[in-house]
Amino acid sequence: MRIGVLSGKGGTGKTTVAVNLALSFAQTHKTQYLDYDVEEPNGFLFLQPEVKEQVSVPLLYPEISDKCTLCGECSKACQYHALAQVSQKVLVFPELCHGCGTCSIVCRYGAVLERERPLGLVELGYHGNLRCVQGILREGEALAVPVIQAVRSRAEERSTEGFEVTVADCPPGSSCSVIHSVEASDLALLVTEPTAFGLHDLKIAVRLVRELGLRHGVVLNKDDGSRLIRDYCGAEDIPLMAAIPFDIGIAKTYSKGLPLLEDSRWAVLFADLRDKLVREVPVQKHED
Amino acid sequence: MAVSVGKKDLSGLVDDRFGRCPYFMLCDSEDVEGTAEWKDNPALASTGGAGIAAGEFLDREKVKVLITGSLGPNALRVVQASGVSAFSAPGSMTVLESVRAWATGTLPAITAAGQAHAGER
Repeated sequence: MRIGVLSGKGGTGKTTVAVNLALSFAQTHKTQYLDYDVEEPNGFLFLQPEVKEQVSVPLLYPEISDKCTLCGECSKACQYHALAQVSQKVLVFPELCHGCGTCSIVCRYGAVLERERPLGLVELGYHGNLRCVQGILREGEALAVPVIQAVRSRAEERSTEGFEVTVADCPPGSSCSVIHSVEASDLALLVTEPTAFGLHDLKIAVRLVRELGLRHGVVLNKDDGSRLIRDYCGAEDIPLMAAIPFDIGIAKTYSKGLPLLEDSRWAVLFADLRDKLVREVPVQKHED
Repeated sequence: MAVSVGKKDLSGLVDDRFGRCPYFMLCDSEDVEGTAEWKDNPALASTGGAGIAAGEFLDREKVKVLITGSLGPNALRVVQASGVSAFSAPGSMTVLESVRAWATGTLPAITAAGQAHAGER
């Protein structure tokens, strides 16, 4: 079963939900936690896994050799303006390059050499029997998707280790990064909070998961008992999977970087959510 | 020469954005009023790298002198590689005033990059 944890708005508690749900699942299933929020991964702060493997994620960029005839085809083909041809030379802007390789395909003179630069890292480790994987985008870089794809490739696509449950901690927002992180989930868990901003961005996230055809449910965090999110979920026929109270104890535990499961009340809350997911989510059979 | 502008009019104002200005006024500096023509900035709708694309456009148009507000780091690299001399004019100056100011040597040359993405507004 693959659970994608996302939210439109940042700071609603995606990582809190993903980390504690993964820990709860690890008690009953062979589970992995994947941090796809590569721009600011923070699940490892709570899980403190022992890192066993660290792999660099490279991105290609062009270098123009002296075989260049200044035909101009490469800079014309580049959608990202990473190449500019002016006054008898071709300038390269590696930080604008998406590594698509089009320049080397269109060059008829073999003048485009593809170089690699480090874009980020994938780290893999264990917290007890919970496998933990995170992607880290290098500071100053803007392209998150190749790092996200590297996490997927390492943890989900060539995995023969038979994980029963994958909890994917997705980035906030509704951009390409979110789509690449949440697609092919058996359920998208939308974490929100009872504020106008929380509801506004929840609606965007709901549109996204509907567009992707994903089954989805809501986790209401910082629940103050108000009707705002409950009424929306009722009107849109979206199941409210769990409600986490607005509680000073939770905030204190979080601020110490500790999982919430240490308190039996929250251990029960996450075990209930886990059992509900096991009961209610039909798992798609993915072809190997 | 080229001036980044907002309107197709010599009495219109200089647009202080380079990569994201709507038009470039192109002219022969010897006879501005007789030779002025306005071309759409092909970089205007770029998702990124607008300054680079606008710099390539000026190179294709064989521009030697540019008047604009400021140039970001990437645009400056293209403009310098293209052999264009760039000068800074305030957005409160009309196009004609800016060319006259350049001719009398009162516009400062752009030799350092301004802030990146400054024109995204």
